[in-house]
Amino acid sequence: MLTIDGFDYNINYRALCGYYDSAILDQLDAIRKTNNYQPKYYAVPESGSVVVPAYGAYEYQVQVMRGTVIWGFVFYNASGAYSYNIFDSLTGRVASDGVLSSGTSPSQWQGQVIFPTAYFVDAAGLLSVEIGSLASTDSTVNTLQMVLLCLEPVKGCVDLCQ
Amino acid sequence: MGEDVCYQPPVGYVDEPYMYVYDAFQAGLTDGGTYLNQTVQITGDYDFVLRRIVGLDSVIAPTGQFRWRGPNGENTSNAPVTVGTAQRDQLVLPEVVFPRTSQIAFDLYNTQRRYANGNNALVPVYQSQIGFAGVRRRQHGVMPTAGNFRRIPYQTLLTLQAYGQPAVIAAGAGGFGPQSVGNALTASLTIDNYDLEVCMLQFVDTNSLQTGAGVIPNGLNYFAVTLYNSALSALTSGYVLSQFVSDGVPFGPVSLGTPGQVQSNTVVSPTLYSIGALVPPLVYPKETQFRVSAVSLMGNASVPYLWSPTTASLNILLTGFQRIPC
Repeated sequence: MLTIDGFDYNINYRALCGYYDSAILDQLDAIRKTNNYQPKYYAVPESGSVVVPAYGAYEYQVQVMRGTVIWGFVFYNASGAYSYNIFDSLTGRVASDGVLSSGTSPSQWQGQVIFPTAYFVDAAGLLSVEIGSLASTDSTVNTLQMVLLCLEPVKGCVDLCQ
Repeated sequence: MGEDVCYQPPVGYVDEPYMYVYDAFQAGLTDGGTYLNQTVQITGDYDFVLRRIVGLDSVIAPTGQFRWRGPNGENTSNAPVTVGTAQRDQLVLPEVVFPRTSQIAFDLYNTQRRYANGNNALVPVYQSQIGFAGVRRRQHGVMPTAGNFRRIPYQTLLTLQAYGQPAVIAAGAGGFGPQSVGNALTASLTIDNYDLEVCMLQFVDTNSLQTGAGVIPNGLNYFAVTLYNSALSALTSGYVLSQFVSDGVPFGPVSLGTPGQVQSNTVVSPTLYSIGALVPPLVYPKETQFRVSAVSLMGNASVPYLWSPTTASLNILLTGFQRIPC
């Protein structure tokens, strides 16, 4: 029996108990059909003109709506290797961190990286993003951007959630 | 995850897979431009549930950016997001319902249309589209999943054969894209025994007559297609690149080839978009037809394409179930 139901169109997907993909898709299943959330993407940095120095770091704080949920990210980098850290500014709790290497093929990191657990941002609504360069040369313009994949409460629902 | 817990539309509604397509050639875009507030119009008969956006990299340059808006006109991102290869296939979570007669609006920054004839820009065959994939939803129906039946796995192969583009396309005349081609070919399968439930499609090209220089580079399409349901209602808003509706995962070993080499039995664009599943599956009752129309995106030998195969076949592999009453 094919296990396709519209969330992930990939026919290679199989609902195998205990497997990572199955587990995370199962967790997101509850929110994918919600009508009190809407998709929201946060681009970091917003401008493509930002340059991350060799072995340096870029830090950015994103103001999101209260009640926002972050469930994954996309990291676009044309070349070089970077470490990243996404955490809640108020609590310091890390939503995700790791090292992303484009290597010779940026397609290694194409597509969304889905978190093991969707993360509710604290009431302050501040997310911090750190992108550290592991490269020996500065990044060039328009070659680096992290996109945070979030769910934002639909206006009018926020107060009801309190 | 069995069928019992699979996604079901609200009670009283019926879902059907559907794709709205934005064709950059038809829209009159030029490369290197910025186009704000482009729109795709939702038709007046169905609501549309958006679940995926594909093909951004065929319209926007690797460093170009994209931003789309929801049904209320709200931006879905704080800033335009870079597409690259990372965002060319976007999953929309949660799904977004666009009411009938509404619009999907979006901005394109730094366009770069993909075309199929390599370095020869005299008569580019544009393969530059954005597909908005999801389902169209209508009221007053029952999902065709009810009833007493058992499923028997079923697979069959349909073949379309096409030749090069019509010779009326003259060298240097500009360009053309899928929507400007008139000679569509149709393949159909009459369902004459049991109801057929089609779950996925794979489009496999066979190009036995190609020579070394006559090969479309990997990642491009030989055909643009449209699908039909059992009532012969189109399930795409226009001809869409076959890679948008074909699952590129091959069955067994496949020779992928490289540009400039002869390919054979190549699954279309094996790694670009994993979107071959029909969700929900399409059900074709007995005495109806499964139908696919295709237009060729190949060049004619009389115009100076870098690739101009004399003939090619499009094999359409249907996978699904027969429903045996019980």
